[in-house]
Amino acid sequence: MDHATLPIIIFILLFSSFIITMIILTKRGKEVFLRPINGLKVIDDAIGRAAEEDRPIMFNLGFDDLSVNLFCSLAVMGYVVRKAAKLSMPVYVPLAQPLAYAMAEEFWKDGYAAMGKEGMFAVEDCLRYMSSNQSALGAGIAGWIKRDHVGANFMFGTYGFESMMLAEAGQQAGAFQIACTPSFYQVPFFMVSCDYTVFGEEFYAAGAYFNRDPVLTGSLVGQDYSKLVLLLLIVLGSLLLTIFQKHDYLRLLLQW
Amino acid sequence: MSKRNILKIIAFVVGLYFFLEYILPEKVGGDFDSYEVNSPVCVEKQGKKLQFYVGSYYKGRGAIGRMVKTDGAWKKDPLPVLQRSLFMKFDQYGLAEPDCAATPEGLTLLYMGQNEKEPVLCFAESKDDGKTFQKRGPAVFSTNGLFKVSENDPNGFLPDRIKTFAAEYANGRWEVFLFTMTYRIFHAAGPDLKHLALDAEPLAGTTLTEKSPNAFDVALEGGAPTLFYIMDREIMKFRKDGSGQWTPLVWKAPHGSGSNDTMYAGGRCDSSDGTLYLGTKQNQKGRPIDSPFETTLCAVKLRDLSDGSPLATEMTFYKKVGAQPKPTYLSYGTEWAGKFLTVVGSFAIFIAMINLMLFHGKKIYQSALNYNAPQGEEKLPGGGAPMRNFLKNAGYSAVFLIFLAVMIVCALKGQTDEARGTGWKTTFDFLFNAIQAPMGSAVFSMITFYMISAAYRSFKVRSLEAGFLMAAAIVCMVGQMPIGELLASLVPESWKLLQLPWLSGKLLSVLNAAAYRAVLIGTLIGSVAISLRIWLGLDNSVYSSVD
Repeated sequence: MDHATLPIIIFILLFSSFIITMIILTKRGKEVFLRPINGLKVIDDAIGRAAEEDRPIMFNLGFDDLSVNLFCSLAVMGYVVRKAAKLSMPVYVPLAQPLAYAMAEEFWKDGYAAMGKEGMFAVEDCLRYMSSNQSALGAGIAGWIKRDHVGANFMFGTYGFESMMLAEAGQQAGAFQIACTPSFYQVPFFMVSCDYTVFGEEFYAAGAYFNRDPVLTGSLVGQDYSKLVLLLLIVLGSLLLTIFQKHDYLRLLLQW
Repeated sequence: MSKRNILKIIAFVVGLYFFLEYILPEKVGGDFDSYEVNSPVCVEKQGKKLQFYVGSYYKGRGAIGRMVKTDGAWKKDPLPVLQRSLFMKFDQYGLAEPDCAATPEGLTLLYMGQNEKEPVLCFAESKDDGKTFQKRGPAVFSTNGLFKVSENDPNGFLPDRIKTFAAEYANGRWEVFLFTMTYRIFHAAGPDLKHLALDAEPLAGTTLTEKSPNAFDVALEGGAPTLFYIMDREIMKFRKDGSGQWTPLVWKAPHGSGSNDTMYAGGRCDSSDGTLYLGTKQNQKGRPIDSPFETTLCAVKLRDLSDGSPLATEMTFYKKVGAQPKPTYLSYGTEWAGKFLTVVGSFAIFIAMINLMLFHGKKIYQSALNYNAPQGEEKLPGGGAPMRNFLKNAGYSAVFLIFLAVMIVCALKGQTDEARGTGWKTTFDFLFNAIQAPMGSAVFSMITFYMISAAYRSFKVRSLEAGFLMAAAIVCMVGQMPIGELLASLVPESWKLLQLPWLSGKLLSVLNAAAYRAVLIGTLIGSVAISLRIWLGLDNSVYSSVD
């Protein structure tokens, strides 16, 4: 592991203080406005459409192993499973990581249990460990989507080149598709193949979006303050470098 | 206390440990040279013999130590005199290959600064015989990826990256020779290391083989520079002849010749007495290649080499390489946690395999029990023949179990040390390289067709945004094709906006890069926030399945 440099330590402490302060304030009742995110707003519509057409729902968790990205995806998966359980719909979850399987199984079972539909669908039919190999994963999921004629396809988490295979298979099956990913380089593929694409930091906002928990909403506001500080630093740094470009000490300070 | 709270406390404690390990400053101190020593350089200052060397510690990072010759014996300082900077980028990952020269002001130590982009020639100055050094930063050439061309008075345009260097100071002037990544040697000279004049052409005749030297140095013999470098186990010595060509003078094997287990790890020549100081790595014959080796700093008399007399060697420092020192005191714990995870992971894989075998075995067993039973309303072609039904229900399971068994047997039986990494010498390699890998490639190649169908859909201009996308795509595609270059050549140089390669470059390197960085900043801050919530136990969704 590389070690933190002084600027990194300062930024970590600064950003953490923003996030914790805003969590405390929202817990005390501070009102917070969350900008509507279209890709997340239509999740209910996608589930509803699949139910109307009596087609199953698929929720892909990407390539994430036990990581923060997986927890973000699982939070949304829990919401989707509960909604689907209410409508007695099956949710298929293909998995690429063995360790993610256990977590996903718990969230999946909890979702159905919360709606009193425990045991309605067999776990082994709905949750399948596909492969950690990207090609095999892509081919396996694409086949599953087409065979079972999936009606709503959610793709959350980190993806590699298999993103194109999943999204195009869903497109060809006529599924309502929503992708939400922090993988920047896969965004164009999702954009052209999915009905809605959410990317970047909005991926991390998804959990807060469905659950207006003060902890989640507060941390979102804290993130925004952190970004504001970085934006100011970028603008200020650009200006100072432009004005005082001859001065060596300033260059060193800014590079630091 | 509930299970959830216990888990939260454990997560907090473990997270705190890792966080502290990350932010604690490195423990370099006295064990900076406990792993490996190399690249010695000797200098004489007012009759005092000093030697500087690199001690490699964690991840091969180097810090520079000092030895002083007193009463005929070398005595080393307990702490490094120069180590990596946490605040400046040019030597953030360590220091390597020092060279030292005595100047009227004191001592100047030049070194290669390791960083995330490219090695940078840096220097530091000392007024107290090398006990302490003041870093003076890099000698900037325009290839240094860390610095802009216009910044900090670049020392000219070097058409290649620096691999190593040799420097000498005489008559108020620095003579610097830069050995580049493409095995060329460039010469730069000047009164100040920040203001060197670089020759446009490399030295003619010095490139003998396309290999990097183990050690490289310059000596000013009678005012004219002589280059030394060690290639494999031979010393090469160059001097400019009458025609201006650099010609080799000496081809001799130095200390350690004849042993296949000695490698040279840098070193410099002391021009005051013609002694070449060398770092060597020695490995006993027959020992596994990854076993600990021994590193030494030793000295070789070059004059002895030139007349073919026996080598006079002098050992200055010896180190038997053991375990790498840990960067902080808490690193023992994180290393142990890593090992623990590996062990638990291995068991988890074993259990997972048994679980998979049981799952698929059960499926096959149940399908076999129901071999003749009706399969519901769905009829397969062939009227629901028993074998078809069996294959539909348990076919994949059977294939999985068969191949699992085949791969396990082949892996346990066929894999040998000789066959590893050499192609298809075993059935295991054959199954992997001739079946699994091509199938993976075939699936990967399918993406092309998916891309074409997706591109066709997205390129339909249905809105203003789609129109912009279409235009940008055309500019980027044509700009990177040969026809783009051809079209650009027809446009006057001043009409940059109409030159598609230029426009495509700007789209990618300015607009796209700006958007990418904005997204990246947001993503990283988002991941910091969620990590903090999980660490402090604020995010209950993670623990929702507990209790």
